[in-house]
Amino acid sequence: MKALILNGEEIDGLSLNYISESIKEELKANDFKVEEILLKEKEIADCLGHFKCWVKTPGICIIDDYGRETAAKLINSELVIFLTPVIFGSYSYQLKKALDRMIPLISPYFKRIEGEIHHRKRYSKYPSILAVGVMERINQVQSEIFKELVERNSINFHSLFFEAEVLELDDDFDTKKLKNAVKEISEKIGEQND
Amino acid sequence: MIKFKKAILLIGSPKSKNSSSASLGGHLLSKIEEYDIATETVQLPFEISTEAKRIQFLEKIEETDIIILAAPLYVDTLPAKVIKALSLIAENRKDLNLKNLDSDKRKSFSVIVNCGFPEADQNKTALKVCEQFAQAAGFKYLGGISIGMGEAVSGRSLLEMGRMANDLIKGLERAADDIVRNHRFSDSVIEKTSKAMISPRWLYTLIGNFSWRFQGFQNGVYRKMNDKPYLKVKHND
Repeated sequence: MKALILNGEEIDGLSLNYISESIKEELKANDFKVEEILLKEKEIADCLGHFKCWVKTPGICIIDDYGRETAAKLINSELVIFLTPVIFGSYSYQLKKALDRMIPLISPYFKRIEGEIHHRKRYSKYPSILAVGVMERINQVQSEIFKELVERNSINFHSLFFEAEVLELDDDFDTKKLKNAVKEISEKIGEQND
Repeated sequence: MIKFKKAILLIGSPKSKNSSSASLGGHLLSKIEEYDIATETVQLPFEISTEAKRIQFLEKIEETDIIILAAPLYVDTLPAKVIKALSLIAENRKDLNLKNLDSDKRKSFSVIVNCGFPEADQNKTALKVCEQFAQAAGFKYLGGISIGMGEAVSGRSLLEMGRMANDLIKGLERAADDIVRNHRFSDSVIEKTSKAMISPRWLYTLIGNFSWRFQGFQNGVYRKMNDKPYLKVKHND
Protein backbone atom coordinates (compact mmCIF):
# COMPACT_ATOMS: atom_id res chain seq x y z
CA MET A 1 0.00 0.00 0.00
CA LYS A 2 1.19 3.50 -0.82
CA ALA A 3 0.77 6.63 1.24
CA LEU A 4 1.53 10.14 0.12
CA ILE A 5 2.11 12.93 2.63
CA LEU A 6 1.36 16.40 1.32
CA ASN A 7 3.23 18.57 3.79
CA GLY A 8 1.68 22.03 3.64
CA GLU A 9 3.97 23.84 6.06
CA GLU A 10 4.36 27.47 5.16
CA ILE A 11 7.53 29.34 4.25
CA ASP A 12 8.62 30.93 7.55
CA GLY A 13 5.78 29.07 9.29
CA LEU A 14 5.61 26.31 11.90
CA SER A 15 7.84 23.37 11.12
CA LEU A 16 5.75 20.22 10.74
CA ASN A 17 8.76 17.96 10.33
CA TYR A 18 8.41 16.27 13.72
CA ILE A 19 4.76 15.43 13.04
CA SER A 20 5.56 14.24 9.56
CA GLU A 21 8.22 11.89 10.91
CA SER A 22 5.77 10.48 13.48
CA ILE A 23 3.18 9.88 10.75
CA LYS A 24 5.76 8.16 8.56
CA GLU A 25 6.87 5.90 11.38
CA GLU A 26 3.32 4.82 12.12
CA LEU A 27 2.44 4.33 8.46
CA LYS A 28 5.48 2.13 7.92
CA ALA A 29 4.46 0.07 10.94
CA ASN A 30 1.14 -0.40 9.17
CA ASP A 31 2.71 -1.71 5.94
CA PHE A 32 2.66 1.48 3.91
CA LYS A 33 5.36 2.64 1.54
CA VAL A 34 5.50 6.34 2.28
CA GLU A 35 6.43 9.32 0.16
CA GLU A 36 6.37 12.90 1.36
CA ILE A 37 6.15 16.05 -0.72
CA LEU A 38 7.25 19.18 1.08
CA LEU A 39 5.08 21.43 -1.04
CA LYS A 40 6.85 24.71 -0.31
CA GLU A 41 9.97 23.33 -1.99
CA LYS A 42 8.15 22.44 -5.21
CA GLU A 43 7.17 24.58 -8.12
CA ILE A 44 3.39 24.39 -8.12
CA ALA A 45 1.50 27.30 -9.64
CA ASP A 46 -1.98 28.38 -8.60
CA CYS A 47 -4.96 26.92 -10.45
CA LEU A 48 -6.12 29.24 -13.25
CA GLY A 49 -9.77 28.23 -12.91
CA HIS A 50 -10.33 27.73 -16.65
CA PHE A 51 -11.27 24.03 -16.51
CA LYS A 52 -8.91 23.37 -19.42
CA CYS A 53 -7.89 20.18 -17.55
CA TRP A 54 -11.43 18.94 -18.29
CA VAL A 55 -12.16 20.27 -21.78
CA LYS A 56 -8.80 20.74 -23.52
CA THR A 57 -6.31 18.26 -22.04
CA PRO A 58 -8.71 15.90 -20.22
CA GLY A 59 -7.22 14.65 -16.98
CA ILE A 60 -4.04 16.75 -17.15
CA CYS A 61 -3.57 20.30 -15.90
CA ILE A 62 -2.43 22.65 -18.67
CA ILE A 63 0.26 24.03 -16.35
CA ASP A 64 3.36 21.90 -16.79
CA ASP A 65 4.93 21.93 -13.33
CA TYR A 66 5.15 19.72 -10.23
CA GLY A 67 1.37 19.93 -9.82
CA ARG A 68 1.08 17.26 -12.54
CA GLU A 69 3.46 14.92 -10.77
CA THR A 70 1.65 15.47 -7.49
CA ALA A 71 -1.65 14.51 -9.13
CA ALA A 72 -0.09 11.36 -10.62
CA LYS A 73 1.33 10.32 -7.25
CA LEU A 74 -1.89 11.06 -5.40
CA ILE A 75 -4.19 9.01 -7.62
CA ASN A 76 -1.84 6.04 -7.39
CA SER A 77 -1.83 6.04 -3.59
CA GLU A 78 -4.17 4.25 -1.21
CA LEU A 79 -3.87 7.02 1.36
CA VAL A 80 -3.12 10.72 1.14
CA ILE A 81 -2.18 12.71 4.23
CA PHE A 82 -2.96 16.42 4.33
CA LEU A 83 -0.52 17.88 6.86
CA THR A 84 -1.15 21.56 7.40
CA PRO A 85 -1.38 24.44 9.80
CA VAL A 86 -5.05 25.29 10.34
CA ILE A 87 -5.76 28.68 8.79
CA PHE A 88 -9.18 30.05 9.79
CA GLY A 89 -10.38 26.41 9.84
CA SER A 90 -9.04 25.79 6.35
CA TYR A 91 -5.74 24.59 4.87
CA SER A 92 -2.47 26.46 4.43
CA TYR A 93 -1.78 28.25 1.16
CA GLN A 94 0.86 25.64 0.28
CA LEU A 95 -1.50 22.68 0.71
CA LYS A 96 -4.50 24.40 -0.84
CA LYS A 97 -2.45 25.43 -3.88
CA ALA A 98 -1.67 21.76 -4.51
CA LEU A 99 -5.25 20.60 -3.86
CA ASP A 100 -6.71 23.19 -6.23
CA ARG A 101 -4.57 21.54 -8.92
CA MET A 102 -6.05 18.07 -8.27
CA ILE A 103 -9.34 18.63 -10.09
CA PRO A 104 -8.06 16.96 -13.30
CA LEU A 105 -8.38 13.74 -11.27
CA ILE A 106 -12.18 13.97 -11.31
CA SER A 107 -14.59 14.20 -14.22
CA PRO A 108 -16.38 17.39 -15.24
CA TYR A 109 -19.66 15.52 -15.53
CA PHE A 110 -22.17 15.81 -12.73
CA LYS A 111 -23.54 13.02 -10.58
CA ARG A 112 -25.91 12.90 -7.62
CA ILE A 113 -24.24 11.64 -4.44
CA GLU A 114 -26.33 11.41 -1.27
CA GLY A 115 -28.80 14.01 -2.47
CA GLU A 116 -26.21 16.54 -3.68
CA ILE A 117 -24.65 17.09 -7.08
CA HIS A 118 -20.93 16.41 -7.37
CA HIS A 119 -18.47 15.60 -10.14
CA ARG A 120 -18.20 12.00 -11.26
CA LYS A 121 -15.14 9.82 -10.80
CA ARG A 122 -12.50 9.80 -13.53
CA TYR A 123 -10.63 6.87 -11.98
CA SER A 124 -12.11 3.76 -10.42
CA LYS A 125 -10.27 4.21 -7.11
CA TYR A 126 -9.28 7.25 -5.07
CA PRO A 127 -7.11 7.48 -1.97
CA SER A 128 -8.59 7.73 1.49
CA ILE A 129 -7.76 10.95 3.34
CA LEU A 130 -6.06 11.48 6.67
CA ALA A 131 -5.94 15.18 7.48
CA VAL A 132 -3.74 16.42 10.30
CA GLY A 133 -4.24 20.05 11.19
CA VAL A 134 -1.84 21.83 13.49
CA MET A 135 -2.49 24.87 15.65
CA GLU A 136 -0.30 26.71 18.13
CA ARG A 137 -3.32 26.82 20.42
CA ILE A 138 -6.45 24.78 19.80
CA ASN A 139 -9.44 26.76 18.61
CA GLN A 140 -12.49 24.53 18.92
CA VAL A 141 -14.57 26.32 16.28
CA GLN A 142 -11.79 26.20 13.71
CA SER A 143 -11.09 22.55 14.54
CA GLU A 144 -14.72 21.70 13.75
CA ILE A 145 -14.60 23.67 10.47
CA PHE A 146 -11.39 21.84 9.54
CA LYS A 147 -13.02 18.45 10.12
CA GLU A 148 -16.09 19.49 8.15
CA LEU A 149 -13.84 20.58 5.28
CA VAL A 150 -12.05 17.24 5.22
CA GLU A 151 -15.39 15.44 5.14
CA ARG A 152 -16.53 17.61 2.21
CA ASN A 153 -13.24 16.87 0.40
CA SER A 154 -13.74 13.15 0.93
CA ILE A 155 -17.08 13.39 -0.92
CA ASN A 156 -15.71 15.39 -3.83
CA PHE A 157 -12.55 13.27 -4.13
CA HIS A 158 -14.53 10.03 -3.80
CA SER A 159 -12.45 8.83 -0.86
CA LEU A 160 -13.61 5.62 0.75
CA PHE A 161 -12.44 6.63 4.23
CA PHE A 162 -11.35 9.82 5.92
CA GLU A 163 -10.03 10.84 9.30
CA ALA A 164 -9.26 14.34 10.58
CA GLU A 165 -7.34 15.36 13.67
CA VAL A 166 -6.32 18.78 14.91
CA LEU A 167 -3.25 18.87 17.17
CA GLU A 168 -1.69 21.51 19.32
CA LEU A 169 1.97 21.92 18.61
CA ASP A 170 3.66 22.58 21.90
CA ASP A 171 6.74 21.41 23.75
CA ASP A 172 4.91 18.41 25.19
CA PHE A 173 3.54 17.31 21.85
CA ASP A 174 1.92 13.95 22.40
CA THR A 175 2.02 11.64 19.40
CA LYS A 176 -0.56 9.21 20.82
CA LYS A 177 -3.59 10.89 19.25
CA LEU A 178 -1.78 11.13 15.94
CA LYS A 179 -0.68 7.50 15.97
CA ASN A 180 -4.20 6.35 16.81
CA ALA A 181 -5.59 8.28 13.84
CA VAL A 182 -2.98 6.77 11.51
CA LYS A 183 -3.63 3.30 12.88
CA GLU A 184 -7.38 3.61 12.59
CA ILE A 185 -7.43 4.65 8.94
CA SER A 186 -4.63 2.20 8.05
CA GLU A 187 -6.69 -0.67 9.42
CA LYS A 188 -9.76 0.38 7.47
CA ILE A 189 -7.76 0.59 4.24
CA GLY A 190 -6.03 -2.71 5.02
CA GLU A 191 -9.35 -4.49 5.55
CA GLN A 192 -10.66 -3.04 2.30
CA ASN A 193 -7.62 -4.31 0.40
CA ASP A 194 -7.80 -7.82 1.84
CA MET B 1 -26.82 58.74 8.94
CA ILE B 2 -24.44 57.01 6.56
CA LYS B 3 -20.92 57.17 7.96
CA PHE B 4 -18.88 55.05 5.54
CA LYS B 5 -16.70 56.55 2.90
CA LYS B 6 -14.90 53.81 1.01
CA ALA B 7 -15.63 50.25 -0.02
CA ILE B 8 -13.31 47.74 -1.63
CA LEU B 9 -14.32 44.64 -3.57
CA LEU B 10 -11.79 41.80 -3.47
CA ILE B 11 -12.34 39.43 -6.35
CA GLY B 12 -11.00 36.00 -5.48
CA SER B 13 -11.14 34.48 -8.94
CA PRO B 14 -7.96 34.17 -11.00
CA LYS B 15 -9.99 34.58 -14.20
CA SER B 16 -9.67 37.89 -15.99
CA LYS B 17 -12.82 37.24 -18.03
CA ASN B 18 -16.01 35.21 -17.55
CA SER B 19 -15.69 35.45 -13.79
CA SER B 20 -18.91 34.87 -11.88
CA SER B 21 -17.31 36.35 -8.76
CA ALA B 22 -16.61 39.59 -10.65
CA SER B 23 -20.22 39.76 -11.90
CA LEU B 24 -21.76 39.09 -8.50
CA GLY B 25 -19.41 41.30 -6.52
CA GLY B 26 -19.57 44.00 -9.18
CA HIS B 27 -23.34 44.15 -8.98
CA LEU B 28 -23.26 44.44 -5.20
CA LEU B 29 -20.62 47.15 -5.39
CA SER B 30 -22.63 49.12 -7.97
CA LYS B 31 -25.54 49.18 -5.51
CA ILE B 32 -23.24 50.40 -2.73
CA GLU B 33 -22.00 53.17 -5.04
CA GLU B 34 -25.57 54.49 -5.21
CA TYR B 35 -25.14 55.54 -1.58
CA ASP B 36 -22.33 57.92 -2.61
CA ILE B 37 -19.62 55.65 -1.30
CA ALA B 38 -16.29 55.58 -3.09
CA THR B 39 -15.49 52.12 -4.40
CA GLU B 40 -12.53 50.20 -5.70
CA THR B 41 -12.22 46.72 -7.15
CA VAL B 42 -9.10 44.58 -7.00
CA GLN B 43 -8.40 41.06 -8.22
CA LEU B 44 -6.69 39.30 -5.33
CA PRO B 45 -4.46 36.83 -7.20
CA PHE B 46 -2.72 39.72 -9.02
CA GLU B 47 -2.84 42.12 -6.11
CA ILE B 48 -0.40 40.13 -3.96
CA SER B 49 1.96 38.82 -6.62
CA THR B 50 4.99 40.88 -5.51
CA GLU B 51 6.19 42.28 -2.18
CA ALA B 52 5.64 45.86 -3.38
CA LYS B 53 2.08 45.03 -4.43
CA ARG B 54 1.41 43.27 -1.13
CA ILE B 55 2.43 46.37 0.85
CA GLN B 56 0.23 48.55 -1.33
CA PHE B 57 -2.66 46.10 -0.99
CA LEU B 58 -2.45 46.06 2.81
CA GLU B 59 -2.39 49.86 2.85
CA LYS B 60 -5.54 49.90 0.73
CA ILE B 61 -7.30 47.63 3.20
CA GLU B 62 -6.37 49.93 6.09
CA GLU B 63 -7.75 52.94 4.21
CA THR B 64 -11.10 51.23 3.59
CA ASP B 65 -14.23 51.03 5.72
CA ILE B 66 -16.15 48.31 3.89
CA ILE B 67 -14.45 45.15 2.64
CA ILE B 68 -16.30 42.70 0.42
CA LEU B 69 -14.88 39.43 -0.85
CA ALA B 70 -16.41 37.73 -3.88
CA ALA B 71 -14.82 34.35 -4.49
CA PRO B 72 -15.45 31.03 -6.19
CA LEU B 73 -15.54 27.78 -4.26
CA TYR B 74 -12.43 25.70 -5.01
CA VAL B 75 -12.26 22.22 -3.50
CA ASP B 76 -14.85 23.01 -0.82
CA THR B 77 -13.21 26.18 0.51
CA LEU B 78 -11.62 29.40 -0.71
CA PRO B 79 -9.02 29.31 -3.52
CA ALA B 80 -5.41 29.10 -2.36
CA LYS B 81 -4.53 32.67 -3.30
CA VAL B 82 -7.51 33.99 -1.36
CA ILE B 83 -6.38 32.11 1.74
CA LYS B 84 -2.96 33.69 1.27
CA ALA B 85 -4.39 37.20 0.89
CA LEU B 86 -6.63 36.83 3.94
CA SER B 87 -3.69 35.49 5.96
CA LEU B 88 -1.65 38.56 4.99
CA ILE B 89 -4.44 40.88 6.11
CA ALA B 90 -4.89 39.08 9.44
CA GLU B 91 -1.14 38.98 10.04
CA ASN B 92 -0.84 42.69 9.26
CA ARG B 93 -3.56 43.50 11.80
CA LYS B 94 -2.61 41.12 14.59
CA ASP B 95 -0.84 43.77 16.67
CA LEU B 96 -3.62 46.34 16.42
CA ASN B 97 -5.29 46.72 19.75
CA LEU B 98 -8.92 46.22 18.70
CA LYS B 99 -10.17 44.31 21.72
CA ASN B 100 -11.96 47.26 23.26
CA LEU B 101 -13.13 48.76 19.99
CA ASP B 102 -16.90 48.75 19.61
CA SER B 103 -17.86 46.35 16.81
CA ASP B 104 -19.75 49.14 15.01
CA LYS B 105 -16.53 51.12 14.74
CA ARG B 106 -14.61 48.30 13.11
CA LYS B 107 -14.18 47.85 9.37
CA SER B 108 -16.93 45.62 8.04
CA PHE B 109 -16.35 42.42 6.11
CA SER B 110 -18.89 40.54 4.05
CA VAL B 111 -18.55 37.81 1.47
CA ILE B 112 -20.15 36.24 -1.58
CA VAL B 113 -19.08 32.68 -2.38
CA ASN B 114 -20.34 31.01 -5.55
CA CYS B 115 -20.00 27.42 -6.66
CA GLY B 116 -20.73 25.53 -9.86
CA PHE B 117 -22.92 23.01 -8.06
CA PRO B 118 -26.66 23.62 -8.01
CA GLU B 119 -26.81 23.67 -4.20
CA ALA B 120 -25.80 27.00 -2.65
CA ASP B 121 -25.38 25.12 0.62
CA GLN B 122 -22.15 23.57 -0.67
CA ASN B 123 -20.46 26.91 0.12
CA LYS B 124 -21.22 26.66 3.82
CA THR B 125 -17.73 25.59 4.93
CA ALA B 126 -16.10 28.42 2.98
CA LEU B 127 -18.45 30.93 4.64
CA LYS B 128 -17.46 29.63 8.07
CA VAL B 129 -13.80 30.09 7.11
CA CYS B 130 -14.55 33.69 6.12
CA GLU B 131 -16.21 34.39 9.46
CA GLN B 132 -13.14 33.06 11.26
CA PHE B 133 -10.94 35.30 9.14
CA ALA B 134 -13.08 38.35 9.99
CA GLN B 135 -12.68 37.56 13.66
CA ALA B 136 -8.91 37.11 13.36
CA ALA B 137 -8.55 40.39 11.45
CA GLY B 138 -10.74 42.35 13.88
CA PHE B 139 -13.43 43.11 11.29
CA LYS B 140 -17.15 43.24 11.93
CA TYR B 141 -18.60 40.28 10.02
CA LEU B 142 -21.83 41.21 8.29
CA GLY B 143 -22.50 37.80 6.80
CA GLY B 144 -22.01 35.55 3.83
CA ILE B 145 -24.01 35.19 0.63
CA SER B 146 -23.96 31.70 -0.80
CA ILE B 147 -24.71 31.20 -4.47
CA GLY B 148 -25.12 27.94 -6.36
CA MET B 149 -25.23 27.45 -10.14
CA GLY B 150 -22.44 30.02 -10.49
CA GLU B 151 -21.67 28.78 -14.00
CA ALA B 152 -24.99 30.28 -15.10
CA VAL B 153 -23.46 33.72 -14.50
CA SER B 154 -19.98 33.24 -16.02
CA GLY B 155 -19.03 36.89 -16.30
CA ARG B 156 -22.38 38.18 -17.54
CA SER B 157 -23.98 41.26 -16.08
CA LEU B 158 -26.81 40.13 -13.80
CA LEU B 159 -29.04 42.68 -15.52
CA GLU B 160 -28.62 40.80 -18.81
CA MET B 161 -29.65 37.46 -17.35
CA GLY B 162 -33.39 38.04 -17.42
CA ARG B 163 -35.82 36.52 -14.97
CA MET B 164 -33.43 33.89 -13.65
CA ALA B 165 -31.46 36.59 -11.80
CA ASN B 166 -34.44 38.52 -10.39
CA ASP B 167 -34.23 37.14 -6.85
CA LEU B 168 -30.45 37.40 -6.84
CA ILE B 169 -30.58 41.05 -7.88
CA LYS B 170 -33.16 41.85 -5.19
CA GLY B 171 -31.09 40.01 -2.57
CA LEU B 172 -27.91 41.87 -3.52
CA GLU B 173 -29.74 45.21 -3.40
CA ARG B 174 -30.87 44.43 0.15
CA ALA B 175 -27.35 43.28 1.01
CA ALA B 176 -25.98 46.63 -0.19
CA ASP B 177 -28.43 48.39 2.10
CA ASP B 178 -27.39 46.21 5.06
CA ILE B 179 -23.70 46.81 4.33
CA VAL B 180 -24.09 50.57 4.13
CA ARG B 181 -26.06 50.57 7.39
CA ASN B 182 -23.41 48.29 8.94
CA HIS B 183 -26.07 45.68 9.76
CA ARG B 184 -25.72 41.93 9.73
CA PHE B 185 -27.35 40.55 6.54
CA SER B 186 -31.09 40.22 6.99
CA ASP B 187 -32.81 36.86 6.48
CA SER B 188 -34.31 38.12 3.23
CA VAL B 189 -30.81 38.66 1.78
CA ILE B 190 -29.90 35.05 2.50
CA GLU B 191 -33.26 33.75 1.30
CA LYS B 192 -33.25 35.68 -2.01
CA THR B 193 -29.61 35.07 -2.95
CA SER B 194 -29.60 31.35 -2.20
CA LYS B 195 -32.56 30.58 -4.47
CA ALA B 196 -31.79 28.37 -7.45
CA MET B 197 -31.39 30.41 -10.64
CA ILE B 198 -32.50 27.47 -12.79
CA SER B 199 -35.35 25.21 -11.77
CA PRO B 200 -35.75 22.25 -11.72
CA ARG B 201 -32.23 21.45 -10.57
CA TRP B 202 -31.79 18.57 -13.05
CA LEU B 203 -32.10 21.07 -15.89
CA TYR B 204 -28.96 22.86 -14.66
CA THR B 205 -26.98 19.61 -14.49
CA LEU B 206 -28.28 18.58 -17.91
CA ILE B 207 -27.17 21.90 -19.42
CA GLY B 208 -23.88 21.66 -17.50
CA ASN B 209 -23.09 18.17 -18.77
CA PHE B 210 -23.99 19.23 -22.31
CA SER B 211 -21.74 22.29 -21.98
CA TRP B 212 -18.72 20.15 -20.94
CA ARG B 213 -19.30 17.82 -23.90
CA PHE B 214 -19.67 20.74 -26.28
CA GLN B 215 -16.45 22.37 -25.08
CA GLY B 216 -14.66 19.03 -25.44
CA PHE B 217 -16.05 18.70 -28.96
CA GLN B 218 -14.93 22.24 -29.85
CA ASN B 219 -11.42 21.43 -28.61
CA GLY B 220 -11.29 18.15 -30.53
CA VAL B 221 -11.08 16.02 -27.37
CA TYR B 222 -14.69 14.82 -27.10
CA ARG B 223 -13.63 11.15 -27.17
CA LYS B 224 -10.91 11.74 -24.57
CA MET B 225 -13.09 13.40 -21.94
CA ASN B 226 -12.98 10.32 -19.68
CA ASP B 227 -9.27 9.54 -20.19
CA LYS B 228 -7.24 8.34 -17.21
CA PRO B 229 -3.74 9.62 -18.02
CA TYR B 230 -2.20 8.83 -14.64
CA LEU B 231 -3.33 5.27 -14.30
CA LYS B 232 -0.50 2.92 -13.25
CA VAL B 233 2.11 5.66 -12.78
CA LYS B 234 4.62 4.35 -10.24
CA HIS B 235 5.94 6.18 -7.16
CA ASN B 236 9.61 7.05 -7.00
CA ASP B 237 10.30 4.64 -4.16
